[in-house]
Amino acid sequence: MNSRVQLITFLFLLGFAAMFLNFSPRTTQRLQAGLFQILTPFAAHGTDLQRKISSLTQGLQTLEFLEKENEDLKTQVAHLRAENQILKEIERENDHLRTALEFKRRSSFKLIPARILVRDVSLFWSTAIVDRGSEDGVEPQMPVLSEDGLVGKTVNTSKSSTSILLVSDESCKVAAIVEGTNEQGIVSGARNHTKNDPILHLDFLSKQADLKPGQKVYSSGAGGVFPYGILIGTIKSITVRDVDARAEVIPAAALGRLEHVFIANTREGKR
Amino acid sequence: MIIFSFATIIALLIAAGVGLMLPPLDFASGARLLLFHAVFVYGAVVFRFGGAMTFAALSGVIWDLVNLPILDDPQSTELLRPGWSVIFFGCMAAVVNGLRVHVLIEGRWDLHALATGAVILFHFTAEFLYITLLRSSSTPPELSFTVASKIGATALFALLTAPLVYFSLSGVESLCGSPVRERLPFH
Repeated sequence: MNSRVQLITFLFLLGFAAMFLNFSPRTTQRLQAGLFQILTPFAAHGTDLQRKISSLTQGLQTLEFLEKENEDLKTQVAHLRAENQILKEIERENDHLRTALEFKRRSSFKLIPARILVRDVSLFWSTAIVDRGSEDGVEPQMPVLSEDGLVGKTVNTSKSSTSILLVSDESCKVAAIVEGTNEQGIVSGARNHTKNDPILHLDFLSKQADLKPGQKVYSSGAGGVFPYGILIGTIKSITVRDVDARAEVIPAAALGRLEHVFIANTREGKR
Repeated sequence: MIIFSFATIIALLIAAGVGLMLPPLDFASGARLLLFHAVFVYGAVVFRFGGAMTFAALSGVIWDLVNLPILDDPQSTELLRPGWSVIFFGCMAAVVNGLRVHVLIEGRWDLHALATGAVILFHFTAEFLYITLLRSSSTPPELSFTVASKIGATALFALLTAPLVYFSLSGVESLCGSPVRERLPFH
């Protein structure tokens, strides 16, 4: 094949890439959902396999029904802890509102339990795939929680699976408020941390912010995706910069060891 | 040839699925065990230039759809646009295609493994630099030890597992009547 033909072929490839780059996000999401529909069974089998290997190495390989019962109980405990977490947040919010001598009704939401099929799909994106999809009422841009706190948000759904952008990803931004103060900022992931030791950044704090390590950071409700009062993490350190201050935040949820999460259906309006 | 072409495309999908199945290797800074690039390199070597380009386009599409988070948010400028991997895999296929005589006729599986490791190194380094440029948070980009070891370990694991892919696909190629090698010059 002469070089001119090779060049033309390569130009065709560039043309195809340009066309693909110009697809609308919705079109690409549909393509992605279709592909995940094919690949999800792989992931589900992989997760089952990992669990089996894990239980074998820990000497906990028991009868199948005991394992299943244990799994169900774990899900129930996690569900109850997540509900408890939300109730605590409601109590905290109630106190806050009473103090401010105003009352506004909290919008409640339904929790959809989901199992993590795949975590950290790629090297540089903190993402995961769960076993609940549009058939279960999951839609893009819904908050995802664990019993400990905020996990992330849904990005794309297929019929039976959903990809989640974790709060430890740099592109997942959450409007946040610091416990006991009026300090507000934006929480996002830090790029260079390992998956087992993720650190979040709370940016755009005022330079005069009187914050201390150990203070809790909650979602402020601004932006519409994450409701008010979900625990994001705890402040580790504070750095004052030229025009603002930045706090390092340890996420409340164990993002590197997630097994079960809850997708908050904030659009249904009932618990 | 058509059967073998389909077989390589299915192998690509299986490799993408296996990539999802295998968990990140936490002891190696969260590196991943990937077979996808080894299948891509084999396809880029085994097909003629036009076929290699088509295979590269398909590889780029599958890779981006499986790996990139796609937000339906016009204000989000920090995410890679799906499609950039098509260009990357195209460039890599153009280079790797030059190895076809060595890899196919001389049976240099070691070259295939080395090319797989190199493609992964280039791919993830380029992806990291691209993300850094998009987010323009630091100049020059902070290629920390964590990131470097994650990329390096992923490339190393892919290099070590590439012979498995090479001999599996060679077997499939033989089953399909080995039509590719017969068409090569000097054969």
